[in-house]
Amino acid sequence: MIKLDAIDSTNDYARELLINSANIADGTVVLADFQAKGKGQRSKTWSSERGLNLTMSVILYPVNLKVEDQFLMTKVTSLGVMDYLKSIFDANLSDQLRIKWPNDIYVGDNKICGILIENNVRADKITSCIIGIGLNVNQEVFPDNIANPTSIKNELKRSFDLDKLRVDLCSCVESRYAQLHGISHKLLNQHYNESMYGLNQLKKYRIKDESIAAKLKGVSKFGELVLENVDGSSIICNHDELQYLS
Amino acid sequence: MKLSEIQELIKFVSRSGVSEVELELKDFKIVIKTPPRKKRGELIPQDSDNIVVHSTVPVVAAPTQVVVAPPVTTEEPTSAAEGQEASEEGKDSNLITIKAPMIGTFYRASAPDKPPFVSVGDEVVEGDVIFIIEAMKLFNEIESEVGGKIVKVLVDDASPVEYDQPIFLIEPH
Repeated sequence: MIKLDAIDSTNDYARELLINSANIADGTVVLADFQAKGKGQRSKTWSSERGLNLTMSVILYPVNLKVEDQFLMTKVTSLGVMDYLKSIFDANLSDQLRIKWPNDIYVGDNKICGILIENNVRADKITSCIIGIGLNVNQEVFPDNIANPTSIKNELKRSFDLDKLRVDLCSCVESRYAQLHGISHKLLNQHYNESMYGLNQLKKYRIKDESIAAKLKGVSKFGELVLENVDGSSIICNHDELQYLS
Repeated sequence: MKLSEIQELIKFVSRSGVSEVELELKDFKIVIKTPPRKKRGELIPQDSDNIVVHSTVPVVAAPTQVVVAPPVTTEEPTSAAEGQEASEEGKDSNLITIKAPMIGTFYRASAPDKPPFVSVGDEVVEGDVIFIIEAMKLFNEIESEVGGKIVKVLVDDASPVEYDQPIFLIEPH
């Protein structure tokens, strides 16, 4: 484990490690008290108050994972985070935990965790994988520009020790990672689908420039979102085509 | 069939007064339609022995038919022709075509404010990250399987790519 006080981004640091060092162990964790440039998707940033939240990256070398199966890494990570949160939440709160496709974790309508995964690909295989997890833990007040945040403390009204939390969270992710190498990915697929935000509910979405009402049915083999139109026909879409409206 | 030949053909059909021309070669088919006219025009000439031109002249133009402004081709030759040229160029001069290993969005840099991983003229070695493909919020840094010099970049930054779509041409060492 590599612990740092303040760095730009744990994912960037993890990538530098992979580039510059020969033998980075499977499961190496890069941890930061504070990320100056926490990374979200492309230019989006992830902001976190110093010392209050968990911001870490884990370096993994999935064995024989084909690039077409890469969405399994999203399933592994989001289900690992869900499992951890269920272990500390009561039944009522656990029921409100959802994966907002593709990789945000929500409590009700509020975001508690963001995930950013970066793979290295050679030919058609994933050679290494950096899993970035930003989990809101002890932060209670968030800047106005963050739409709908929550934290463990906001939900449970008590503080958590970040070191213990990290160890417990890593073991939850590790258990899901073990399912990746099992003979079947059935559990990963089934649990991810049934944890999805908006599953089977009629909600409004914007696809490209069109607003529609549809029911979310799950994800395709490649991780695309599968929606069902009111007439029963299916729509399959990428995240850059889709916007949640309600 | 070359792009310039297609352009010539469109010009000719447009001038000739023929309302529709369908041209089918071994692995190529093109249909050119012009707005309906009253007068019948001449068929286009057989400018090559192995080109067969089927032209149909509607007896009566249906009134509901959509009138398209000057000739419209149902095939879009530009991108296909470019791709073809690229791979032919690859064969001719031993260039290696680097292809997309997956469907997604192609990025040349790790972030919008960062310089591209590689540009034309750059030397790469095996294992260098040369581009990113993002799909469903998973970012894939694609490593080069060959060493050599980047000769051509075939895809614009931040555009969608298909599986196996040519991305770069590399001149191997």
